[in-house]
Amino acid sequence: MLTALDQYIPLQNGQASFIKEQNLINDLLGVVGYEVRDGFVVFTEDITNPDGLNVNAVDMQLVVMDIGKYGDYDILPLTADMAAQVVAEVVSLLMPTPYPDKRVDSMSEEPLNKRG
Amino acid sequence: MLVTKQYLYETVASLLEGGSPSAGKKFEPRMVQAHLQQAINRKLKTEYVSVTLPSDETIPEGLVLACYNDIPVTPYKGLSRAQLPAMPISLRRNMGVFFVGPATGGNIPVVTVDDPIITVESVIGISVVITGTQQVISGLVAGSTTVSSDAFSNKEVNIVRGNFPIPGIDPTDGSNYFTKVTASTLITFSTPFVAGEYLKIQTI
Repeated sequence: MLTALDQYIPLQNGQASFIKEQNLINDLLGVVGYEVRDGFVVFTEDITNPDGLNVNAVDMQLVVMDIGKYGDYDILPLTADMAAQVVAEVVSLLMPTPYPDKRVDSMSEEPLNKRG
Repeated sequence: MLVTKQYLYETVASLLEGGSPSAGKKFEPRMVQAHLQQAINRKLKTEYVSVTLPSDETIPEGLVLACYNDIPVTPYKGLSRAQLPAMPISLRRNMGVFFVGPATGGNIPVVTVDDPIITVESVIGISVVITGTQQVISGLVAGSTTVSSDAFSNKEVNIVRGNFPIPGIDPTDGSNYFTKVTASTLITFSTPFVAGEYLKIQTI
């Protein structure tokens, strides 16, 4: 999934504007750089441009704490949709199989322990 | 939305207990928490970070690399940006953001715009006219049996070929070869081109 040859180049904050002024290197030899600023990854060019790279989404790897070290009330490094998927996965794993309903499925064996 | 372990546990518990009030608890909280942790690790594809890097810099123990796929990128003041899906650990030289690369998952619905039609019109050995996005077209010479260009990559093309010495004549009288093929980057013809022959290739 993640390949070393197909990635953007990290820059320290402020380096992009510094490099921009240097004519010989301001195109970063054709690769795209990025800075991390205020919770965003800001790229050195518009990679969404349909006439250019036309990239609409990126993959990221972030360094986070081991999940086991998060406390019960610490904010987990999960997006909302990831959280929903995690819940669905665990519920489907632990959800007991419902008893067959003999009124609609006459072929099923009658349950030994009927629900109360 | 802030996601915590307690929030996840309570959500799972309420779903498991829901629907049948007399069913009672059939699960241990600790078991649910263990499953939650495993599910999170699977979702993030976590892997431990090497504690000492080749540059002799040390990363604190207990950190993992977590993968996030298909983070949307939006235009921003002439550039573009993507919001961090989670706040990474603050490390020297912004190493908390360990990798950023083009998405490979393809789960984001992308609105595609049809590529412009590219038309190559050539009188072999005399003239070549390309309309649409300019592309390098090779093979338009006498003796060649192949025409290749990235413009044909996985496209269907209409081909008109005939003996028309004058450019600009529309060869639609049916005596010419008119077909539709799916090209890779290469279109192969059964006979070699001869000088003065008319060839028109148009992507669909």
